[in-house]
Amino acid sequence: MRLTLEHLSKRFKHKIAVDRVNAELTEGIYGFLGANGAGKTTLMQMVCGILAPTAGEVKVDGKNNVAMGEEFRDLLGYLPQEFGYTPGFTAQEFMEYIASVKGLKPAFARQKTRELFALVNLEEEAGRKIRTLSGGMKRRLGIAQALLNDPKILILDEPTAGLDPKERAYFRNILSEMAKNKIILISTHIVSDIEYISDQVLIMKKGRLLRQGPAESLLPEVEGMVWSCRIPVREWPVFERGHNVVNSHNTGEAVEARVISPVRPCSQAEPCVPVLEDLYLYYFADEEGKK
Amino acid sequence: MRQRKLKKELAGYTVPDFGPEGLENTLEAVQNVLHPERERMAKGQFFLDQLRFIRMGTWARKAGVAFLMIWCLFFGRTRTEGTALTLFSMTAIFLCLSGAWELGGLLRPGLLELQMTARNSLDRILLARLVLFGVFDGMVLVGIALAGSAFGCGKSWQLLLYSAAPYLAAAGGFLTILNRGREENAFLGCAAWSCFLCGALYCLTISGWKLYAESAGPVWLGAGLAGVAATVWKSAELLKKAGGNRNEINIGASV
Repeated sequence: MRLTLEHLSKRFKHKIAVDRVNAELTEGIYGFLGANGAGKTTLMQMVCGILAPTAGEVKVDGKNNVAMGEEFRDLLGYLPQEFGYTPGFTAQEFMEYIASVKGLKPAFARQKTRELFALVNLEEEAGRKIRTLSGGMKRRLGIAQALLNDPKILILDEPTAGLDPKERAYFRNILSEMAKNKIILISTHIVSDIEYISDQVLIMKKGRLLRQGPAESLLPEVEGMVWSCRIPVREWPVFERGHNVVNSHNTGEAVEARVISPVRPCSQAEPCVPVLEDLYLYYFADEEGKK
Repeated sequence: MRQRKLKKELAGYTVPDFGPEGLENTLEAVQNVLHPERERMAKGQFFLDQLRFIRMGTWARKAGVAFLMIWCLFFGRTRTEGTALTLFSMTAIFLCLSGAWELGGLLRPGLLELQMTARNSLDRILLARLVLFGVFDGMVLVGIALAGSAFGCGKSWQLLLYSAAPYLAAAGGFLTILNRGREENAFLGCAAWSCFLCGALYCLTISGWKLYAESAGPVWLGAGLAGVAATVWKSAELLKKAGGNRNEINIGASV
């Protein structure tokens, strides 16, 4: 299966949310990385067919997604950023409702719901009202509903928001296991969500697709720019203002910092092996107000 | 149904020569036909299946309003005609309101997007409820009008007009609000529209208008027809916005 985004653009009055995005996606996990407001959600909604593009189109094996209609929606599993539900529903009733809307037969829907509740560790919460579930549980319920129809295209918008580290690790493992024969699109600004599981990382900024490729092929871009240094505490405020700091730790006498800089930031700075988070901060430092 | 489908699939399948490859191809073909994950409900089945997802509270509210309408009608026989029939017309508005709240619940941000990306898109889900509520409420209004007429509370056509016209005016307004408003405001908007219609009916009654005289029949008929037109127009608009994934939504997360 091939999902093609052709010159995809979306304008909201004066704001261009997505600007001529081109990508060709086959089976695998694709991580869309970008700061808040980069246009990730708008792009995801256009791929799902919720929003109509201002220009360009989305194709599945050469066919327009809107023209495919229910055939396309049958291939689709979607978890929106803000997952909504009918307040009176229990988790089980909600799953059965979504299954019905997806056209699954009731008997199969019940069986599939049991399997998915086991997968996302919600078996004991099946009878509880959704409004009484914790944020993490609701998120896991959202992930389960997206998988009900065994989708071939799975689109997850900020899927790990509200999950604790253990749940995030578990979620990443689930995704890795199910990636075979599926196109999985994950939109996030949390680098660790996609660093180790995505086949390709797509970096979005201000609506444009800046880079696309496997994480290891993108990292050479910041090779030789990541430094580890130790700055005396009294010099730290000035240093911090002038550099792109990834993280810092105040030890009392000095501040140990990881810095992205095209030149050695201070005389005793040591070069470090770059990771995806460094690349992210390299691209988005200006949006964080650090440059 | 399943047998027919199997027969059709078997008729179109050529059995390959025996061998590992042939076996593999046959198993794959069988999976395509029998795999429950690929089986989907027919459209009619989906419509009926939606019945179990309409909240019990909605049906209970509708039943409660229906009893209130009957009570108004019969209680009114001992009071002045105008007051009882005004109450009767007002309660019909609340019969519609309970359905509007159920529809509004489907338009919650987050749930809306989920439904738009499902096989049976939001337009079908809304249509199923519009039809179900329309049929149920229609039967209630006709039933009460016939019963009222049988027990001497008035002529059946008059009683039907006195309830159906406000019901349809309310429906047109609710659908306009659902088309325009965000879900949390839509609930309040629908409640406000109901209060406005009730207030208007009450004001007209106490200001001496002979609303429930036989001669006012054409006025009720006109109001009812206007309500039908508004309801049909706004229903079509709502379904168009909700379905086909061709139309942008104004609610939910964007950028």
